[in-house]
Amino acid sequence: MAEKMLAAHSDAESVSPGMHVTAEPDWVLGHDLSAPPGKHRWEQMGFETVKHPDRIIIVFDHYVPSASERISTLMDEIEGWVEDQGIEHFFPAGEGISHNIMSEGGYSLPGELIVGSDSHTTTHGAFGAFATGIGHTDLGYVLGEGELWLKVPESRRVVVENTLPENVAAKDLGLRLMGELTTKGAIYHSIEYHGEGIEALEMYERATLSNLAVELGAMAGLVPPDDTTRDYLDGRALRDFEEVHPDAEATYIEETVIDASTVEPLVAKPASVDNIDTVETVGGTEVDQVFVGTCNNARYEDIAAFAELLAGENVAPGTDLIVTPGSKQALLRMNEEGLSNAIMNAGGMISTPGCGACFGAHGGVLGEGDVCLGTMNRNFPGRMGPGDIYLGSPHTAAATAIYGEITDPREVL
Amino acid sequence: MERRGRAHVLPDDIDTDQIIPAEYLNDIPEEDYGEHVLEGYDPEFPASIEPGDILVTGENFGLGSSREGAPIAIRNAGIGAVIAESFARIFYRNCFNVGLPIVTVPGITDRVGEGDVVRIDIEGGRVDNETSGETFSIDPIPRDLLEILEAGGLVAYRQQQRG
Repeated sequence: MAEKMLAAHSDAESVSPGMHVTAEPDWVLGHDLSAPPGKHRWEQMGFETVKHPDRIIIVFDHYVPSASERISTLMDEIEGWVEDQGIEHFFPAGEGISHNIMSEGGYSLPGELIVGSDSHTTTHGAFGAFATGIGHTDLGYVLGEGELWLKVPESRRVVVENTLPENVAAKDLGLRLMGELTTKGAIYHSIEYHGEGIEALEMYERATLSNLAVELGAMAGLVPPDDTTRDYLDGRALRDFEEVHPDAEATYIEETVIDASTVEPLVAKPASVDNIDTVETVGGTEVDQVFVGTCNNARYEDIAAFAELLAGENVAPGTDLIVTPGSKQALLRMNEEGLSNAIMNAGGMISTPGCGACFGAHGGVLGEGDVCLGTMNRNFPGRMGPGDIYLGSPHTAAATAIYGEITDPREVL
Repeated sequence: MERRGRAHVLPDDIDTDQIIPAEYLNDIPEEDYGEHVLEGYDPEFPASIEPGDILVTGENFGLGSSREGAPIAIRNAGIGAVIAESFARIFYRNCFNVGLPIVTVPGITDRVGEGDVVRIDIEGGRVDNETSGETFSIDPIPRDLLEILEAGGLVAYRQQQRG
């Protein structure tokens, strides 16, 4: 799939792994953390206009609402530049996380090439797009030139047989894969997800898996489009699209097979995303904070699964529950469905849609000795401050919030 | 392009949060990132660096966030180059883009000790551990990337191209 998609977006007739191609993306994404340095590089390189203002998406999602005077100044500068350049797709603070906005808004489409100066751009692979992260100088260059070099990756196949048991989430499947492949198991690979266990997943669940592809080191994490994809995009897609599927004779450097029916609730323990253990084993670990949010697990359905388990219970004394919806759309629906009230009545907080506490700059920074269980995708040392981070599913987060210690969601039922 | 310096040996999986914690990213100017390099790994690390030192690291160096502040912090701290057993993808791109020389040598952390003097010859495709006398070959760097590196990064490269 990766080779066909990169060939379609470059001047090369056919491509093979290892080749560098000059590719022209359909979408270029920048956010409040990457757009200021990206714009600065664009200026340094001597550009005065962006090449395709209709292909650029700028989202303020990381430091929202502004966390400092310096950030407010940078945001003002970017807002002015967006207007001057006629950039057509701008989402100010409060709209949500770029990846959630793009998929909910029908930007993420099969067959398209998306580059974003955010490592979790791999998320859009769930929608059949070839989507990958780039740096700030890359962003400046592609803003000006409308193209950039990409290395054609090797493709790696993951086959998920059977389907997940009840109260076992796509996150648990993703963590299982993290444990099997490790954070360096797929460096520079394009992962393709296949099998009954993938076909059975809804789009929000596939997004969780593709989002984690970068944690395996991958360039992209692709789910071949199917009826679930088409149903989701019906009435949502911003434009017509052309699906890309793998050839019958496609070759892969390796295949990993997982039996979904054997997946249990899992966590990634501190301080690596591949430090996987069962919730049962770490059960009883006391937590100071439960965080439900991020591009990994904060879509409406994720929060609904969380709220369903929490409703009617109380958050344990001494535990802070922070719920940060992935988008304004998700928050509005939570309000309509009564989930916001349920979460707050249980003792939780709901914060501004965006990246929230995930990257340790604001809105839930951990102190020395603090323990957080969160639904995000990274638990690196110091990521959220000096404390320890466990990663788990929204279901595990709910059970953990109720008991104030890491708890198997199957025990709450 | 050649680099010679004293080695600092680091383990596998050093992520970009350890290289430059997010709290600094929008709060201090880029020029000052070097003062905080690898603080997330060891708070004393910045004080241990002398100009020209070389990082010798394990697998998957620079995993995590796409933040370019990570290679900028290394470069601005005066570190001359990074040798890793493997690099994370976005970090790899970013190093060339900011003009930080990097080379891949599988198994290097077993063959270089803390403080050894190492010499990197990128065109010659070799790394010498002058302390032990051992020589290693480096994975070849594609021509297009080498040109960016020789120019001092993508900004300088683009400026040259435009004359």
